[in-house]
Amino acid sequence: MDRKSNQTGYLVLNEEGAVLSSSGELENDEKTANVIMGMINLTSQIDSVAFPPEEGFKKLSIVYDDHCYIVCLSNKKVHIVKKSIDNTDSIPVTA
Amino acid sequence: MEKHLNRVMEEITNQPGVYGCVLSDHQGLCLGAHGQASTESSGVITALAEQALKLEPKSVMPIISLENDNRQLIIRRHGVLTCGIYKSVCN
Amino acid sequence: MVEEVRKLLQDILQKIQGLHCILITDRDGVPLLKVGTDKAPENALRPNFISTFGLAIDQGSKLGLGKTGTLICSYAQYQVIQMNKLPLIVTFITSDTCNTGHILALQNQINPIISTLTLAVAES
Repeated sequence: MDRKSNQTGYLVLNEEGAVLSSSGELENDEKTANVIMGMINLTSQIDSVAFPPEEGFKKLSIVYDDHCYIVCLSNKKVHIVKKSIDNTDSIPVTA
Repeated sequence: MEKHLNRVMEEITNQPGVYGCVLSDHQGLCLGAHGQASTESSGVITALAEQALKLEPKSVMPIISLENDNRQLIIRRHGVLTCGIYKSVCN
Repeated sequence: MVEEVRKLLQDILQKIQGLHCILITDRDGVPLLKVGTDKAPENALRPNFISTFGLAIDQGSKLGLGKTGTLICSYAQYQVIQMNKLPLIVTFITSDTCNTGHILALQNQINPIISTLTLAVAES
């Protein structure tokens, strides 16, 4: 995984949630891995009316004031990136 | 009694792109759903918010966002209330 | 088949925090399937406790709101959530803090299990 700007750490997990590779602030962070696997498992049960199950999800982001986690599923692996949010950058989610 | 809550939910659903919202309490029981959202999803939304809270228990509650090409679900917890907003997105 | 069902229930049990036990019984409270941790209170697993659900839903139907679907009892330390799938009863025993809404949402997931089990019970 190439280094993106503002990235402070990443994790790559397999389908079972075991850590395949990691770096930075998320180095060998199994706790984060477990919590995020728990969230991914929950997403499969989300509202079938508003979110047709056949569409599925592509991206999960968890956004704090000054940093965020972005999770993507690709090639049967779970990629987790931790980023710091620069206020000059566009914030991924606004509520 | 729930007039005010319904009005808030209606306001949320009237925002551009938003097609549904659901509000639930700390036990995951549905307080209300508006638009294209089912009351059953309240439990899962609360569970997701609770799970996210474990990530950094010391930080303030994060905003959770789930996306695919066409839709987005935004979850925010405020005290005992959890709110899920369904939005359609066009890239 | 029973092994598959048991595995599915075990999966559910692990995914939901505070869920102690899932019990599938007949209307008399006789267990057909049980998965759970040792945290579940012994008393709540007894047939005479579970079979009171039958009486309760009979009373519930007298309210004139149609058939009773689920019954949630909350206690100081536990919640007991029972679902009417007669001839079967599904009982969830959880901690008081457990996400009740999430348990109720499991209904869609367990419905297929229940229908296969109902068929098996009807045949025997």
